[in-house]
Amino acid sequence: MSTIIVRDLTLRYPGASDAALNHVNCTLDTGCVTLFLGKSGSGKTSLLRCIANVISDYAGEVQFENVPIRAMSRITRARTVGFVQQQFHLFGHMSALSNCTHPQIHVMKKTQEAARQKALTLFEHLGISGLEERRPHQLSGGQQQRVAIARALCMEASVLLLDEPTSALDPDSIGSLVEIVRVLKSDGITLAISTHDMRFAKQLLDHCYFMQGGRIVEESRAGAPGDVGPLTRAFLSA
Amino acid sequence: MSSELLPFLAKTCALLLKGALITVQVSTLGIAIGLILGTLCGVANSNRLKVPGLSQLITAYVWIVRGTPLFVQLFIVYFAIPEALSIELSPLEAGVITLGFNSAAYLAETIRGGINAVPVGQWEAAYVLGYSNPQSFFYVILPQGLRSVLPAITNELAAIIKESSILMVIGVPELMKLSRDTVARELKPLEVYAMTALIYLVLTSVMALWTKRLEKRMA
Repeated sequence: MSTIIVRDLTLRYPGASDAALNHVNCTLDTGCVTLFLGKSGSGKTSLLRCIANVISDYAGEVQFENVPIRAMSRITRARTVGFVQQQFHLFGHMSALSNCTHPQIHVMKKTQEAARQKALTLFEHLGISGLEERRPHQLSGGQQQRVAIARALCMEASVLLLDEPTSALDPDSIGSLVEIVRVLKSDGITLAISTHDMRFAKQLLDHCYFMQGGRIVEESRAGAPGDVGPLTRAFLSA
Repeated sequence: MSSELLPFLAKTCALLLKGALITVQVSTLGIAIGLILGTLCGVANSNRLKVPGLSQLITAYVWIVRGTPLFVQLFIVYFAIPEALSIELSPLEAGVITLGFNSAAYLAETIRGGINAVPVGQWEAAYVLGYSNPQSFFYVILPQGLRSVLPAITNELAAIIKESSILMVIGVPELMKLSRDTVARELKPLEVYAMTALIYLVLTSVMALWTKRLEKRMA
């Protein structure tokens, strides 16, 4: 079953001669990890930004359980899709804990105590207990990323998009991230990850799309040998 | 000589402190106008919140104020505008308005720069989390934008205190005017102007200390 369906998505940035995304069709399966592989500039980030509705002036449709994400209210959308960007973009003037409680209180209208409890539970779940009062600049890249994931999950998003999650991480942190992704998957969260890090991708290969020049040129489902397409195989073995 | 000096200094100090009180009053009102108007102009002229038409007006206002002397602006506000509009402005009112509008132009540019310097990703992160545009601005962007330009704002606020001395030319009984009158009467420029400088130094230092604490709190 697919949680997110992307239909005939085309995106052209103002002034650009080529389309960043060209008639893209794909699905994010419920409770699965979907990888978007490809070189830089292949359109992975643009696709995730369209799914998160950060970009909304595209042609085509992005649906969550048959409801267009573009048509959702901002609160419903926030409770549906969480998006952790490449640079994490934690709010620098807030503590790690406030980054997670503030949107719950001001967007979801939760009480301070309920928001705090939810955030603390997620901090423990993601192995970042003890960092609550630190400011983002006092955290390592891996810690910032976990706080950003906790912030997205605090909104009870059922779909989590991670854009190039390994780009700011050292090898140890990449290993921890793989574990976190597996934990989230077992929690039933639908994940979409864009990456050009083949070692990271190899460990999570489940359902993946290979992108090139704004198009999806290959879809692979891991499981049996031969299920992985030639482009994906070449990418992973590069 | 020294037996005469101490009573003179005490008497002069008491007098100058009255002037300092006026300086504090006009500066505070000027700062209030400057901060409010400067923030509004800075916000309305920032990249993501630019209001067409209004933005050009703000740019012109900033250009004119920053490109002309405060002295001339004071004379325009005190002499020219009241005559053109057939209204009356007291020296104090004209002084406060001039200081406020002058500092607003400088603060507008500073605040605009601070807001523009907040990465676009912060807007996007707030959007993804479901914040409305006003919530994004007031909870996420403005605090970070102001934090990054707080030292520049501090400088501007200290400048207002010092620049308020120019109001003596239209007869506002602030610190500088009282010290000049005292020198004319007592013919002791060294003692009086040294004391005046010391009072200005205390005022700007208090302002600097207060803003340093604010910077620490916002860090």
